Amino acid sequence: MYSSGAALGSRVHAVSSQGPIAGASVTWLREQVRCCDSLRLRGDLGYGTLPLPHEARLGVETFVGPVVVWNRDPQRAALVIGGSFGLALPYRLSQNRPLYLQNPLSESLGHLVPRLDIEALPAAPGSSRAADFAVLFGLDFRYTEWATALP
Amino acid sequence: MTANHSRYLSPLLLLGCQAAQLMPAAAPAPARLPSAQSTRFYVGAAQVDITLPPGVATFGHGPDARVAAGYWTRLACRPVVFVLEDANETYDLALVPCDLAAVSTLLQREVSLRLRAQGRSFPPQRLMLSATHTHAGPAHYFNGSVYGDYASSVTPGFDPQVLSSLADSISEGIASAHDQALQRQKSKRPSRLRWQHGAAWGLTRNRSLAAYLLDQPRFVADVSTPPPAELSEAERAVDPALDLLEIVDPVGERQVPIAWLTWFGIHPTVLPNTNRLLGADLFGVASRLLEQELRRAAVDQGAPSARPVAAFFNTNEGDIAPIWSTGSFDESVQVGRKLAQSVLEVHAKTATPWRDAAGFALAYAEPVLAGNRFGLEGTRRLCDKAELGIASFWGASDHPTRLNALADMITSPIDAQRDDCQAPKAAAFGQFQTLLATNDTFPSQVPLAVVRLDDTWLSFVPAEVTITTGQRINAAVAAVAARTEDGRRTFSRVTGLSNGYIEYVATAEEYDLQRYEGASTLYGRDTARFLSASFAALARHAQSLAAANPAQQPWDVATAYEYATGPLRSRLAPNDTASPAPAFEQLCRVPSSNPERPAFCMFWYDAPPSRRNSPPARHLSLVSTDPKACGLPLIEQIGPALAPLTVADPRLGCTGVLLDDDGYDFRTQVHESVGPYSRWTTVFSPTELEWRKLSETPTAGLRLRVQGARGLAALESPAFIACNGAGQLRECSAQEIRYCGLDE
Repeated sequence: MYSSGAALGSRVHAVSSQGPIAGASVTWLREQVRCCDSLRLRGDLGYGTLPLPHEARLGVETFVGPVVVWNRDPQRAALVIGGSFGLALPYRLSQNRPLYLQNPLSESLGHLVPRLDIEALPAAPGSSRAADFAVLFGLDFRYTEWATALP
Repeated sequence: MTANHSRYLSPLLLLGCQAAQLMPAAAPAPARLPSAQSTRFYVGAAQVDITLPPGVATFGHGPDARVAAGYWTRLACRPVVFVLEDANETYDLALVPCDLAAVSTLLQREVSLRLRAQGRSFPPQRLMLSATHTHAGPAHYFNGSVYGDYASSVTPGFDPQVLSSLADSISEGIASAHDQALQRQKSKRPSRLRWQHGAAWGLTRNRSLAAYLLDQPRFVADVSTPPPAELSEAERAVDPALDLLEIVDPVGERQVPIAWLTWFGIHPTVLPNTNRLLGADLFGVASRLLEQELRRAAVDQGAPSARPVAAFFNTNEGDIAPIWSTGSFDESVQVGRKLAQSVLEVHAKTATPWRDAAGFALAYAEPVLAGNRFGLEGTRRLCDKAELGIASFWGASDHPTRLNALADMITSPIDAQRDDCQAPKAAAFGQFQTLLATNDTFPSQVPLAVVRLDDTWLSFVPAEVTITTGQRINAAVAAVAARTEDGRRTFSRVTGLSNGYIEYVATAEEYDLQRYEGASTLYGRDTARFLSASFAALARHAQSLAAANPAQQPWDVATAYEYATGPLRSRLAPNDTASPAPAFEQLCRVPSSNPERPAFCMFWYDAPPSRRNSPPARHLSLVSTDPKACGLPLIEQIGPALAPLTVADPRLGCTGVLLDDDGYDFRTQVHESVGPYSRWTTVFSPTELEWRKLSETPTAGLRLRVQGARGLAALESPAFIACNGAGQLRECSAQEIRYCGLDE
């Protein structure tokens, strides 16, 4: 019992390897089981650590935020507002480099980022859509150019 | 790190933010010194290594700095402790110059806490911690989040382990000096001191001449020696005052040197911001040369085991650069040697009588700078919020930052439209700075202290003051303390970079031009006036005269107050669990145009740096193949005052070690990881004189030795002979020379 779709999002990190994260994403989800595809707009607020070359390979990012879902209900379109929780584990692909071997200007980093999001949506009044609990998986590849003058 | 401190830090680490923390007070009660005219004193001095392993950023060049990959001269603190004996009580006072770029109040407090835990009474009020201002010292131990945050250094951050490591070492050094002083007190053998006040021209130049020329009245050097005619205008626009405090231990008819403390104003920045080796720059060289001379003098006085120290305090160096051209290690040695020679000349030229007892005094205050009106006329006040001007990001004229290239393209450093307290400063990042900076971004409450040692009043300023600011502070202090009780003229000197750090203090006239120093004056154009008035008040209070207090709390009290640090980041390598013994790879000779002065590069493998064991004491040395050969530590005669010592003096002990990395002949750095090892290189570059002496010394052969950490076996290079050793070893390839860092 799964659905699939495409997601497009962006995220702003505090200018620091550890700190707050804010972002937003939009997902078009093709529902396999239920009646209607949905467009999901989510805001993310959270905290994250970027795995830099002199640190552990695995970082962590956690988010909470609102999710707004628009259902293509053939009976009656509905707009539902719920909440979401997200967990991402950026894994550094690039090699370990102690601080004294790093470039004094910037370091190029590649990360593979598995991500798990949980969204809870109440039933939509007047729609065929019931209360919904969705678990979403994603896998990102990130390229980061990290300026060493940042903490 | 104390448990108290960790309690604050742990939750912060989890939250990833830097909430305000409470500065450890160490001693809330007033701490004074006896102000008797004639106090007996017992002095101890020590040298303690504070070199950190590779991985820390260097501090002082902002984001243009580099992460240290190794070390050249070791970093040291040279604490000198006075035990002052009053009629009924004794008082301790520590003067602690350190090879650091700046001192944080947090570091001073942590040192004081550690000493208190040992039952030693060095409250912050009697612990004067000063930085020589080497820009090849570590970052990561500052209160004031700006000094650990964005662009404060490369790989910025606050590391409690760096703070803890420095505080541990410094307190150990002070304890050692204290024990010496107590031992002398127990032996009822008071120490003697004398000041020698002289001058050294031709070492420095004013790097902000246009700002200096605006000063009214203009700076006038308080020395009797006129500048040599050949000096340029910038080279005359300096403070040449060089003040030498000599302290000896009278043993019968002999006088064994304990310490030479020199006050001189110069940025110790011969080395460029691309330097990747920790080191004390020219002050480190001068200290080592003078210590050689003092050890030689101690041997002559029948005390071969004595270890006198030669330390430097920086004074009004804000706008003063060394005269340099290439920025090489060799040039740093040359300037350091010239400084050491100047100290010896001052020592030789004057002959002030020794004093068995002297006048001492101390006063301490911790004013909050923001909005402080002390000593300012009318509605004038220090600004409510510290601010950096845009020109502070362009760097000083002798070491401009990369951003300096944009200076003319972006904006003027002067904001003519501005009419608030910081006018005419053009704020760096404009309104963003106002929005982002909080009250804890910059230090606001700072320690100010005056200490009188015999005829000299020392004002310990937590800043880099320009020569004219320094002169005005000196004049203000001298005006309230002009004569000693026995009618002698007093001298007044600022001791910069002490007990805290608020960057620069330019005069109001200099501030208006908003050069680098003015733009880095955080609390506005009246800061210099405020400091002059404050130090004059401190000097009055130290003499038990009525004086208003620039601080809101009582005199002579160190309080607990809130501070913030930069983001917590670990900058020291983790402790290694299993260190392999070092292993030799190869040794080659660096081609040189000067056959009298060869250099060598040794490649070797060792464990990666670890905060626990890198670099261990006497990591690198040149040893004789004859284990009974005598040392070669005292071979360079730098001045006319003291005769040269023979190369091999059995009174110094014969261990087979000829030279070691306590000097400035070795440059060691770590490179890439190779399995469980890291690859390291060491450049051995003896001076011409040292090489000649080595060549003249009959010895079976020479080897370079790397001491193993924690008792592991040492490695030694194959033997070579000094007189024709150059011919025995193959030449390094161009690639190897680059790898060893010799092409920079």
